[in-house]
Amino acid sequence: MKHWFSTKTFEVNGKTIRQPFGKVKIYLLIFVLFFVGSFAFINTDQFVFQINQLFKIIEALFRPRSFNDIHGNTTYDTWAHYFEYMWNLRHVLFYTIKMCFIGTFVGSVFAIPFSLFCANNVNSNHWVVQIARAILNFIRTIPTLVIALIAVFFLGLGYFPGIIAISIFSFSILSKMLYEVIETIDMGPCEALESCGANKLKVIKLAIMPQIMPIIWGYVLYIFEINIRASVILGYVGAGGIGQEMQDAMELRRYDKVGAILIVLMLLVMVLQFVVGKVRGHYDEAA
Amino acid sequence: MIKFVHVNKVYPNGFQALTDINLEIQDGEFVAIIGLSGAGKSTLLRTINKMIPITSGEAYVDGNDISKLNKKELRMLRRTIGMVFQSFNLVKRSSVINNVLAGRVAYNSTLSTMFGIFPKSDKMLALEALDKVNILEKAFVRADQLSGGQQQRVALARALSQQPHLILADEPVASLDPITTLDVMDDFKRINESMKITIIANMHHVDLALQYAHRIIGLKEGKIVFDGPVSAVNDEILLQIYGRPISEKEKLGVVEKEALV
Repeated sequence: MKHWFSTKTFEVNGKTIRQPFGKVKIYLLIFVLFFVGSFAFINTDQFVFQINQLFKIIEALFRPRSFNDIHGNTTYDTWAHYFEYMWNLRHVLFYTIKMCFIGTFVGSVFAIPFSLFCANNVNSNHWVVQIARAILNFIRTIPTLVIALIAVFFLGLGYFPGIIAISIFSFSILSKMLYEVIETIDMGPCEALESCGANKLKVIKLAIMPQIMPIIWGYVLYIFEINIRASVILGYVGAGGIGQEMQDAMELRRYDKVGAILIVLMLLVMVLQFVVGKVRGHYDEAA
Repeated sequence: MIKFVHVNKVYPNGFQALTDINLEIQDGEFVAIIGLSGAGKSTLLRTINKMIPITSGEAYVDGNDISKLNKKELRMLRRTIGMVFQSFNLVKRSSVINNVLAGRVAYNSTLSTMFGIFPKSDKMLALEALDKVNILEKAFVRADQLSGGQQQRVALARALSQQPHLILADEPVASLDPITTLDVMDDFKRINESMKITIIANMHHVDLALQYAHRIIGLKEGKIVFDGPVSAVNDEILLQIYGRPISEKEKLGVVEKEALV
């Protein structure tokens, strides 16, 4: 242990060179202590792992609904009904996709200019950058559910509050992700464009955008995927779509329906993954 | 014509990069600036198109007092001054032609640039510029597909598409291999001679500077310690610039082109 913390010295051909002590070790130690320490505050008595309950719920989710007849015998609904329900979900699913699509689009359209505004290497006004980032941080601390609740309060139930909530969420997270990427780009092309007599907007268009465009595509599609999953929560506040369906199913304890919805969402996310791959691949070839 | 009178540059951190620079460069000259790393070569080059503003003194480029230019006037001046960099500074993900068209930005409105529209005449200019540096066939290839030498030629074509009367080159061959170096230097020479474009280049390679330039400016710790024709450079002067004698080997890039063929 003593050796671990001490500064190392090397003797090379009679000369001495010291390797400076790495701070990373201290941070690592603090992290480990914090992690271990946090267990001390958990009441382990309450920690019961009921594996049979886990299997029970999984069974309830991915199996047609069960009935108890008058004799107390359990019978199951047909798989046909299970899949029929899944197929009928397409309408609410489409509703959700539309909501997420518009929300992600609107959020992204605002996020791209705003992220440039927040990037230190594009916006040289230190104070403006700090204020813009503070606004972003503030928006990000509000949970999407709360934004949706506020939007429902103002705009009533339905499509519109859902879109607003998704737009605001997409805007705040994409802005944050993008300005961090923008700060890592190669500034050489920007210098070259400036030396050609380009103004700020032209530098952004010709030197910055080509560098961040493929990353933007990837992020936007990723956020779209997050939004699809988040829209399940949005259903709870009356924004409609597959979330509403999920809530209804949970209230009636129709776990078979919940399971069907989960499978449909999983399939959708998989399709999205495939599309993301295709779009990025295509973008890499073109440009 | 470029005229510097008692120019000083002090960086915000207090480092004095240039001290009392006086110089005059006529149109059509091929000037090489030599000196150790940190002697102020890059700073001097960048003060000419005000990529770095000067602290005191007067600097004139084509009769304009550059410290008095407003933003718009500065852009109008910069669009007639090409610049080439050690690391090429191309947008690697964009096609070669788009990189060359970037040289035309200041001739077009911001709105049309935002929509990515360049006039056909600009495209022709860009293609002609590529032809002048012998890589016309690479026009629609992505920039990162090219070798270092080819990328530097694209950068040179970008500068040419500006229809400049002056090209500033900051260590243009420092990241190229010895053979490509000579090709690129030949391009500079041809541009200087046939198109009458003034060239001011920072050089690491003393022998290349002596071989291609007409005039040498030696910088040491931010001061001009030598300014004169190539013929006047001798070991004594190199000793002054570099602080110690420079052997034949240390002049770098020692290959003669004929020796390679």
